[in-house]
Amino acid sequence: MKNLYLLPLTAIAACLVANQAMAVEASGHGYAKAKLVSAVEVQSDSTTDSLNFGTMSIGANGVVVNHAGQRSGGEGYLIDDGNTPQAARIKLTHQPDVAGQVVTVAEIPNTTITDGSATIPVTSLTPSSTTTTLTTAEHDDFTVGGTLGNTADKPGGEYTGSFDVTVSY
Amino acid sequence: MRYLLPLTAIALCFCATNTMAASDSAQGDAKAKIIAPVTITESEDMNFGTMLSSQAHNVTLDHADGRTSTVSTMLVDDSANAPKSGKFVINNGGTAPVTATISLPASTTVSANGTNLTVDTFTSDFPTGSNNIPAGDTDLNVGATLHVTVNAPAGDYTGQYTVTISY
Repeated sequence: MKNLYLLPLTAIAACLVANQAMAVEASGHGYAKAKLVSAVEVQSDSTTDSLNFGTMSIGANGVVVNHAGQRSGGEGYLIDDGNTPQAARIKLTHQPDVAGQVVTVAEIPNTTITDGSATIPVTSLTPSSTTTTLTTAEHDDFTVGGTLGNTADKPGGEYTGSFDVTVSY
Repeated sequence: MRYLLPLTAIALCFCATNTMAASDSAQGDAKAKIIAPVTITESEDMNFGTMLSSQAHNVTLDHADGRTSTVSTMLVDDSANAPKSGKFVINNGGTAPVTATISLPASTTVSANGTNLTVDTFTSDFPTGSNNIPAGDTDLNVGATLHVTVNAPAGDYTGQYTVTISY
């Protein structure tokens, strides 16, 4: 009797294997891709590229340097000397592989300049363009202008500071 | 003689059977089930989009063209090379649904200039196990994870993967 039951089970098992072998398969080939690009660096030379409000007498308020480096405001307080006003120059240094990539400049936070003790606010830091399309050149530039706050009651001296520029792409 | 006797008996037996024969016939049924083929064809390349490799990171592509990275600052918004899930069209050429399972690869590589990057953790918007494939076309979306190694060279990386449907 034992053998009688074993035989059908064996037959069923064989049948199942046969059914599996009969499964039909179809395959589709797909392609996967990714583009790796080199990083873009934001650079500014503090010696040559700084935002410079030029020279003025104490009491100037609201001196503006625009993207072209032209100074306005602070009438009656501005002094034209060898310290020529200029807009900041920001360099986006990159490899040619990112040509065509659009870089967006984030809002630039206010900052201050100081002579080591007193501070003067710098506001309205605005890029010449909020977007820059990268070229095949070694770097693509934009400028930043700003507004210098009230200098009244500030001691004379050379004031310096920095501001942060963040770009995304 | 001991062997001749049984043979004779068998022969007689056949003769007797012949004289008693009657005829009858019946038709047997023969059948076969022929199903229309199911095909699967890519309709859009899987594209992880544009990214940096300043840091090692893993980019995961979902089924709806969305992507995330373990280091989000490594992702580049490049409208000319937007991320896309892999897309396939499954065609059931019959008139009735077909029960099928989808098999995705364990991994593949994308390559550029001799550098290989691994793509694994493939997923699809089909539930695992058996699924009913209705007659006609059905879309299948596929996602995966790309492993970007630190300072992998810039370039256009490409590779191939296979999706199999069993029915």
